Amino acid sequence: MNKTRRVSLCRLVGANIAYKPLSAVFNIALLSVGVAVILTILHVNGLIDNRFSRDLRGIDMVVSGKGSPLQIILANVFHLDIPTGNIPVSEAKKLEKNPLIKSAIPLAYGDNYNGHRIVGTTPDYIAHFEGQLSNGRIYSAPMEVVVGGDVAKKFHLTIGEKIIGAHGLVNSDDMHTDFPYTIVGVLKSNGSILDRLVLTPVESVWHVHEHPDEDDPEEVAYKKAHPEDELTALLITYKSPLAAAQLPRMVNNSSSMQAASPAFEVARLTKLMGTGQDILSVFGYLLLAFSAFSLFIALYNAVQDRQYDIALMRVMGLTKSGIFGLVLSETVLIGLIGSVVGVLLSQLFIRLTAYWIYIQKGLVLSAPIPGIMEIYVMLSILLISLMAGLIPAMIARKTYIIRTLTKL
Amino acid sequence: MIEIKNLEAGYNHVPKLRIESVLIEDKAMCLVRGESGSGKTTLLNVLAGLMRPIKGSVNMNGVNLGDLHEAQRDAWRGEHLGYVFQTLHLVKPLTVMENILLGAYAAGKQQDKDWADYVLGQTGLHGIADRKSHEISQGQAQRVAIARAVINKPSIILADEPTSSLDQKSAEQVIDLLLSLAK
Repeated sequence: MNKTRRVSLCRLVGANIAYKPLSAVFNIALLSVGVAVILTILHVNGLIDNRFSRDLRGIDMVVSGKGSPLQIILANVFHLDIPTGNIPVSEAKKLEKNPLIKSAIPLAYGDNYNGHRIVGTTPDYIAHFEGQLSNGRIYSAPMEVVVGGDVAKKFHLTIGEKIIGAHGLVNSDDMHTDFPYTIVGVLKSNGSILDRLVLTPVESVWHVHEHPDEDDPEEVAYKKAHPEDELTALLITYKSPLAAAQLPRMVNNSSSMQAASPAFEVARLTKLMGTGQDILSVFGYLLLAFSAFSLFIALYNAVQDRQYDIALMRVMGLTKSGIFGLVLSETVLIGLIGSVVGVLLSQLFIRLTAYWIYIQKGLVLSAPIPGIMEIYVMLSILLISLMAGLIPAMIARKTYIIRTLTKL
Repeated sequence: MIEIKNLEAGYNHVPKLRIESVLIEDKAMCLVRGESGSGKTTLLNVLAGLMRPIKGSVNMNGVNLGDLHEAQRDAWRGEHLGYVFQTLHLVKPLTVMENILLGAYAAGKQQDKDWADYVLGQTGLHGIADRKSHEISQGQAQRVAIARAVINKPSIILADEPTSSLDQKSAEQVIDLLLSLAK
């Protein structure tokens, strides 16, 4: 008893592909890498935009020391850059009383715990980013800290444990050993900026930096020139849209502070990042165009090689439309496999990119589940494959039976 | 029944073959002989509906092939005709059995595996059904081609010098096979 299956369109297409597998594998590889690059770029763009929008939600203006507005946003909202400078508490308090301001969350920082910023702020900051405790309580006194979910997990931190901060915003040996913090709460990871911060009352930061390091003349001189307590920034929410037109100008013109609009600066940042993304996108589209051309060449050659088979099937009764469909089915199958492999590959690329961004910048990006975007890309690939197979299929359809069979 | 009347056939409207009248009855076996280039293959191509006559008519089992358009002639071939070629024409990526069943698939007919097994047995190829077509000898390949030609139980089998590429022994086997199938 033989194990042969019945001949079908799928069997014929599969047998043809399997007969010269290298060509098929090459075309599938080209298509899938093109699909994966394009999907990765589209998704990572979306993830970064979403992440930015989430971190910016409810923050209409950020006020900090004079400097670049973009740096102010990166430093104080995303904690990705160094601050432009500090602002005196008196000026900050004066601004907070402005009737156009609904709320102002103070931030004061300058130290880190193993590379994670120790941020002095009010519990409003935790509430703003919808932080929830997984353990313990919110701080109520100076030198108490609540640690972000990722920080706690990374360093296995528990309630009641003492931690020592280091001077500066990156890991250093300059430890504040005389000022240990006590962990009173641990937050659940929620994908927000809170995950990678150590939070404490503003007073803790002032307390640690009350007495400048005598060995550091720069610090001593700075403290002498700025005896008053300082904040690094204020995160402000407007009471009415009218504030957007008045407040930034007022802050910039009549104080030592600098106002920055997160929405505007992030739009600028996205535009800057867009250039690199555009180059990568062009690379992805070029790959797809090249793979379509390669698919066309492979099918054209395959049709030339199979002229006898095609003529033979015509003699046996297969119509011209049947031959046309057979060749197109082959290109569609290659396109389908290429796009499915591409979608799977894109999931891997997105996870690797997200991991790289987390390692480099500490931004947590969660990989998306394939959805409508994948369907659109897959349909586009099928269309491209169909187009690549159209001319070879028409050539196959027009095979002149007698001339072909008598040539052998 | 095959009836040819006032046939002129050739290429680019230049007649290569002229037949005034021929009638081949049902169940008949007919041998066509002629010098090389005398138009034997052209005649078979006309009878198979692969080319239209320049003039005259070819009536196959009551159907005038000249009246059919291309798709209709394709369908007619699939339904009524088995064709064995002068040279070996098997589809390389397929197995021996698949090459035989391909005849039914191309004609849009039910693939009867029992009948295919029987035909394969008749051709003495039972043990090589799952082999790829490039793994068998020329004599075996020609027998596969004959098995494929009869898979749809056609009323007419055309064989164009089916033994020309075979050695003496294989040629005798193929002729014997064709004769036994015709009976």
